[in-house]
This record gives sequence, structure tokens and C-alpha cells, in this order.
Amino acid sequence: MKETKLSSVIDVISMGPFGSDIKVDNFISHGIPVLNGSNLTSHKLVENSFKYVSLEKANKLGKANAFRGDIVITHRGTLGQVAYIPYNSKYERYIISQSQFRVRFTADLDPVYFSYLMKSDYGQKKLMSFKSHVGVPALAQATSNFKRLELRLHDIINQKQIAAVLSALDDKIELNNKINIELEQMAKTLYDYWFVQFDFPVASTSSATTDTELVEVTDKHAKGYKSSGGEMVYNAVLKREIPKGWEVKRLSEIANITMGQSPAGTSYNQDKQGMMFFQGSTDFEWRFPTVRMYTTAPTRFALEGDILLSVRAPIGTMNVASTNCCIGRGLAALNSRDGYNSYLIYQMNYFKKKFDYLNSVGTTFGSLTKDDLYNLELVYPSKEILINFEKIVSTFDKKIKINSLQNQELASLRDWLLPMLMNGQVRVGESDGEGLGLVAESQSYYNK
Amino acid sequence: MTHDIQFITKTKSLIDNLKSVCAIYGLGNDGNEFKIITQVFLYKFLNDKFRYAVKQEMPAIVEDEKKFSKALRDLPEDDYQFLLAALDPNIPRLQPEHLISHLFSKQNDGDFAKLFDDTLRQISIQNAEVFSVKSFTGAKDILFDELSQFISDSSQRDAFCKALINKLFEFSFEEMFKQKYDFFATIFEYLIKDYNTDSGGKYAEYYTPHAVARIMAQIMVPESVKGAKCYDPSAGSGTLLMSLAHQIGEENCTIYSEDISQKSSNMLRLNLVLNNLTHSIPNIIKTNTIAQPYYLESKFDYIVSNPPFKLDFSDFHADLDKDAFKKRFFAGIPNIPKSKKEAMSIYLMFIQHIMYSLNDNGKAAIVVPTGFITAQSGIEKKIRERLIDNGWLRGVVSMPSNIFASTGTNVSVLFLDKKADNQHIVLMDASKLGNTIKEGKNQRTVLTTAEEDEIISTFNQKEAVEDLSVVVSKEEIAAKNYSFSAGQYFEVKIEYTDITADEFATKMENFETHLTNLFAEGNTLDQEIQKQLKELKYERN
Repeated sequence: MKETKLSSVIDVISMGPFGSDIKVDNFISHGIPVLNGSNLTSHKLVENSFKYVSLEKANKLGKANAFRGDIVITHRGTLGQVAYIPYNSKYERYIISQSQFRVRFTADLDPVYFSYLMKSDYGQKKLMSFKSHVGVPALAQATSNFKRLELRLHDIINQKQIAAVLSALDDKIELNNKINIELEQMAKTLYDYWFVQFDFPVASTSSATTDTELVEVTDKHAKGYKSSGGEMVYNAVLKREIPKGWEVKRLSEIANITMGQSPAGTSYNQDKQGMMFFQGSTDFEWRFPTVRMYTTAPTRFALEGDILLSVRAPIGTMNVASTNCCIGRGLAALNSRDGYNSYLIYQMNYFKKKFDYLNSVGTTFGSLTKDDLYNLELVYPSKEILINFEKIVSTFDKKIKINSLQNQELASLRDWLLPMLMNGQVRVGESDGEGLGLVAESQSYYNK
Repeated sequence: MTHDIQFITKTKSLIDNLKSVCAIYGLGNDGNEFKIITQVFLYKFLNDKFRYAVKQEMPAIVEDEKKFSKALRDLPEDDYQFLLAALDPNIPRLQPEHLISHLFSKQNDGDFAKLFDDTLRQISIQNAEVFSVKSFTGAKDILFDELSQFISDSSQRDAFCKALINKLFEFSFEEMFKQKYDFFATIFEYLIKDYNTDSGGKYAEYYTPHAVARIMAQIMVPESVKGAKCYDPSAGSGTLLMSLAHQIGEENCTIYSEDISQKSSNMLRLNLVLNNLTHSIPNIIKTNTIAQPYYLESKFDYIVSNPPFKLDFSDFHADLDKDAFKKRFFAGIPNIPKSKKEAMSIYLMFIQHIMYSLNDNGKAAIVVPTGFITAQSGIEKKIRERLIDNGWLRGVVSMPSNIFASTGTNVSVLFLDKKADNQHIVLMDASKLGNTIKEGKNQRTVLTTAEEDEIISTFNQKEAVEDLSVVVSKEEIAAKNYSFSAGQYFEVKIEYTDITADEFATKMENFETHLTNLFAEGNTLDQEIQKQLKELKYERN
């Protein structure tokens, strides 16, 4: 490793366009994507949502175009964001924003390695060394100061090895997330088809009015109940037709509901004293919340597997408790009285559309009270269909949980390794048998 | 119409001229400038109105315009009294020497300032019955101050009054009275715009936007009425009352008002004069409506109010908690908080006062902070319960945010009606309407005329419009914890399009293929990770 002045490994460096170069009316629905801060939240480009400009406009913007292999850095606003554009990115080129600059390195500095390096404390401190201390958070004279930075860098072979170790972990995390989303989509599709459209499967041979026979969803001969003429009855409460024999119930009849209550503020801590505690939806993630707060005086409890529902703004956001925990007044915990927790998750998801709607009409919708929650009305399927649904979807949910837990482990492994790899404490070489306990330990995570 | 626009321009330039006279004599931004401008303008208005009325009454007198004041002076005393008696009670009683033309001819005499002040004082005294604003104790304030006294350098006073009289002499409003055109409402705003601000500290004179005032009036009074008693317990400059009076017809109503601010009371008087409501001036009371109600035992047909929302009333908090007020403040009085006393919800006192002041057929429209319509406990909830249980709520309209330029608080308008149809209560969420415009530093929302009409007609027709309004019964409101928020009653439509069995099968197959690929990729990655980790070595230095 040796101190290297960045200017010696930079091929091209350029600032984003002037604000006046891209105006709101330049944005169109497709074309060349324009990056903003939300695209730079990870070590590589996050390609969730974009605004676009026309090809013609992009061509005029010259140096504000960024390509695969480039690094994009925020110089104003949320400082510290560094991401590279991967070689398999969705688009071939991007336009960087007025708050960003982009760098292309020579063959002596690997962009993947560099963006990981900048994630370490060492890298962040170097980058912030030219932060300006007046006005909005910004890096002063970003490009010229950046060129002058001196960083300890590995040689190119080690760079690529380090990048490969860390990328493998991140790729796995990304993949697990993709699998989870697929699984959830699949479960939603099934829920909608069975319980909104009422085309739950009935055997082609039996008469459509009985639903006692269990039919596998994979049965190619199964028919949908409603579309094959199953009997429907108008329900005055829900103001729509529901399958004969199904009941309209209140949420409190099918679910155990615990309204949260906040423990005394003095009992809160972040030093793992007492019980895990969630005040509201602040720590919510895609499905399982991150653990941050603890309380030594827990009041109301959610059990492992319970649905955690936010009852204050934003109302209706949901997560699932990965262990027993304490819930504050911003949350309610729910589980199925009859053991159909997966069904309940997607049923609540359906209600979420209702909450979203209420939030979107802009009415003061303060909070969801106990009464509001208890009295939500739903159409409850017959037991056989519930068992059938649960059998299929609970396996999805189990897989989602395993993937999520695995991701937490992978992320903490990555965060633990990253600084040591960067400062040379740990190096990547040929395996010689002795070495880390780490290897043996980590293997257990990945034996599926 | 072009004539009107020309006239407005001329009137505005008269006001501007008066302001520039004040500025030249060093009264710009002086607290007294407002008094001078409004009182001089009022003098001019009364003068022209008088001339107009006299000419209507005795066409013979006007044969020679130039000799008008002389002709008046030449009338025998009895004839003059007879003439005054014949005039409409709204017309001020003036003597020939009170007229601007008279002062104009005397402007070069010595002690002109004294003559000017004396003239205005005499007008005040002679018209005290009709033109005075009373306070709670019954003390009457006078129409005109001794304006020249505001100039501290006495040697400048003559010149100052002379400058004013010359500006007033330039043109006449008389043409305007011939037409039935209410342009004085526009002029009123122009006149007070520099003085009606919300920077008054404890007492903030928020100005109710016209759109809100019009909506309130047109929803309250859908059909014609006669002899209505209209009241505003926190009148300010009277926008809401004027709008209401205009809707009912100025000749069909009497106005009553209370307000604690002297300045507001003066503005309101001017507003009444300009709007042909002079007969209601004696009903303007300058008082603390909550602690010292003048109209405590009066009951009214129509009440409008945009009360102050928050105000420190700890000073007279104790005075309210007495037996005489028990029935009036049935829901209670907000406690005095330990800190932030300025945030005490005084509007709750006004709502209760208004409910108490309605007669058996009474109707009211009250501007409240939107938080009121959903609050889960306390006085707010008690008031809502009372309104529903008694069947007094006709409906609620929640306004868009920033409809008031001066406050960011979201507001709603409550419509009370003692004879309300409590099976069809209209709850409306208009918060999505309006266009946002920039006004100085502030964002403001402006409703278009079409949107105003939509709100009014939807409300009056009791229509349920998707995402805008619902029509509910009092039982339904009670079941929803007495919430007045339309959003809580909206039918939620979740869009769903049916798919065919084949589409479903294809979709599931796609999921399956995706997952198979992802799982395979996962396996490869698992091996890759294990291989990578094996290669890590800890450096022992």
C-alpha cells in the first residue's frame, strides 16, 4: 500500500451541470436518466427511480454525462455519498445532477474498490477534509480539492481482490432482497386472486358450490370459484358480492390486537439494556425492523412473528417482529387467533391500501384508534381455503425471514471486514489452511 | 363599466394623494396616519352623500351647481329643518358651513386648522346618535378626532389642513351614488390595506379572505330573508358581516358586532358607512366579548365569526368561571398552561358563546382550526357532542391549507343551524382545491370562482361527491367518535381488475421461473463467498 495522489490516477473528472441547464420542464417520461441523491445511497448505483431527459438534451450536457465504471460523488447536500456505475447497469449512460461530480479513474484504481474505500471511516474523513463550514453542507471546490487528495491505496491486484470479497457479500444481499420481493409479489397475487377476485381453486370435478375439497394451486385442472360460476351473495355491510358461506367479520374477531403503550422515557437506552423496543415506524425496514432502542421498563409486548402496524403518521406502515419486543404508542401488534399469520399479513396489506387512500385524500387522519382498528370489516374465508392458503404462503414467509436474517449477518460481516481490509490488517491471498476462525464461523451462515 | 374603472382609479388616487400629504407633513408610518386618512375619507364620503341626497330631495336647488352651498345657506331655518327631516336616516345631518366647498372657500383665512377641526367636531356632535361606536360601559366615541392636533408643529397645521381640503375638493363621488354599484367595498380594502396587519402582537387582526366570506354567506343564506339580526362576536374590520349583509340585502338586516380592538371598531364603522349600513353603527360595541359580553342576553338569527384561535387570556380566566356563565360555557374553559400561555385556545370560548347566542331558528358559520374537528377529548369533543346530540350541525367545510395569507394553520368552517336536517349532515373536504400562488414570502391558496360555486352548490344541494363530500346522519357521526372530518367517512374504493385463469397461471409460472433462476444464482454466490472468505488472512505484524 502506498500514499497516492488522486490526480495521478484520474482519467476524467467533471462537475455536474449548472442548475439552469436542467429545468423542470426538461424532464420527460423516458430517455436518459438523471441521477439524484437517492440513487447514491449504496456503494453502487441504486436504480429504483429516475427522471429522464431527451437524448438531444443529454448530448448538449457534455461532461455531465456519466458512464459505466464512473464514480459519482455528492458535493452538496447529503455529503459522503459515493457510488460507482456498475458494468451491468440498467442504462449505458446517466446525467449527473448539479449537486454531484463524476470521476473516471485510470486502470490503476478500481472503481469498486474505491467506492468501498470511501465507505470506510478513513475514506469518509479524507473526503470531508475539504468540507466547507459556511452555508449549506458542501465540499468546497470539489473537483480541484478531490484531485489533491492523498490516499493509501492497495496495488491494483489487491484492489480487485478486496472488491471481489466485498461485492460477493453485497451481491448476495441484493439477490436475497430480489428473492424476497418476488416471493411477496407472488403471495400478493395469490391473495388477490383468491380473496379479492374470489377465484380460489375448486376441483374441476366437484360441484362449484362445495369448497371442502383441498385443491393445490399447482393443479392445472383447478378452476376459479367465481369464474366457474360459484354462488355469490350480496353483502350489505361490505356493499359487494362475496362467496356463499363466507362471513363478514371484524378484525378483532380474527386477530389478537395489542395497542402499544410507551414506557417511561427514562427507561430508553441504546446499550441493549432490557428489552428491544419500537416506539413507532422509525426503524421499519422492508419487513423486519432494525434494532436500535431498548427499554428497561417494557409495558406492552409483541411476540415473534406478530405484525407491527403503525397507528400514527404514516398510518398503516407494517413490519413483522423478528423476536419478542416491547411496542410504544405508535404501534399495534397483531396475530391471527386461528394461526393464519401469513393470511393476516396479506389481509393487512389489503387494508393498507385503505389507509394509503385516507392519507392521500389529505384529510387530517390523526391516528388510528383502537376502535378504528378493532372494527375494520373483512370477509373471512372458509377454514379449508385458509388452511390451503397458509400452507403455501407460510413457506414463502419462512424463506423471506431466513433471507432477511441472512442479510443482517452478511451486512454485519461486510461492515466488520471492510475497515480491516482497507487498512491492510486483513489481506486476501491464497488459502493456506491456517488463518481465520472467521472462515469456519461464517460457513455456517451459508449452508442452506 | 369603463366609467366604474375610471372612477376606482380616481378614488384610489385620492387616497394616495391623502397619504402623500401625510407623508409630506411627516406622518408617514405614524400611528395617527391611519386616523387621518380614514376620517378625512369618511368626511369626504359623508359630504358627497349629503349633497347627493339633498339634490334628490330638492332638485330646484341644484340649478346652479356652483351656488349649491350658498343656496343651502339662503334657505330659511324652518325649510332647512324640513329638508333634514325628509332625508333618509342614513344620511348625515350637515349644515351649509360643514361642506367641503365652504371650507375650500375659507382656506386662506387665518386659523384655518381651527376652523377645520371645529367643523369636524360639530359634525361629530350633531350626528352622534347615528355615527357613534359604543364601548361596554356605554361610553360613546366620536366620529372625528381633532386631526390637525396630530401635527406637533403648530405653525404647520394650517398648511396641512389646507392641503387636505384641496385634495378633497378635486372630484366628487356623487356620480357613483346614482348607480347601484358597490364599488366602495373594493375601495375600503384599498383604504385600510396598509393598516390592517397581523403584526399587532397580542391582538392579531387576521383578515378573512373574500372567498371564505362569500362561501360562508352563500351557504348560510340560500334563500331570501327579511329583518334578520346578524351578529359577529369578533368582527374585526367586518369582512364576514359585510359579505353576509350583502347576501341578505343591506336593507333586510341589522348588524350587531363586538370586538375588543378600537382600531377594528373604527374600521368597521367606516365599512358600514361605505356599505349602506349606517343604521347599524350604534350596534358596534367595543368590548371584550368573552369576559364582558354586551349582547349576552340577545339572541340572533345569523352569526358569523372568524375568532382568534389562540390568545393568552389568563388575565381574565378567573372572571369566566362564574355561575352567570355556567350555561354559556357548558363545555368548560381551557386551563391556564404553565408555559406557552399565548397558545390558549380562546376560539373554544367563542364557539360556546356563539352557540349560546343563537335564537331558536339561528344559523351560524364559524372559522375554526381544522384540529378542532377531530380532537379526541376535552372541550373540543364536548362541543362536538353537544352539536350532534342537539342536532345543530348542518355541515363542515375543511378549507385548503394556506387559504389565509397570514397563518399556516389549516382551517375549517362549521355551519350550525338550530333547525338542521340531522339525517343529512354535509361534511366536505375542500383541502385539495385551489391554486397555489406566491404572495411575498408566503404561499397562498386561491380558490377559483368555479371552485367556490362547486363548494356552495354541493353543500346546499347536500350532494355526496367522490373525494370531496359525504352526507351522513347524526348517528353515523356519533358512531365515529363525533369526528367531523369528511375523510373518515369516504367510501374507500380499491381498484381491482379481474384476471383470467390463464393470466393467473402465466403470472405464477413467471414467478416460478424467476425464483428458479434466482435460487441458482444464490447457490453460485454462496460458493463464491465461501471461496473468498477462505482467502482472507489476518496480518500479524
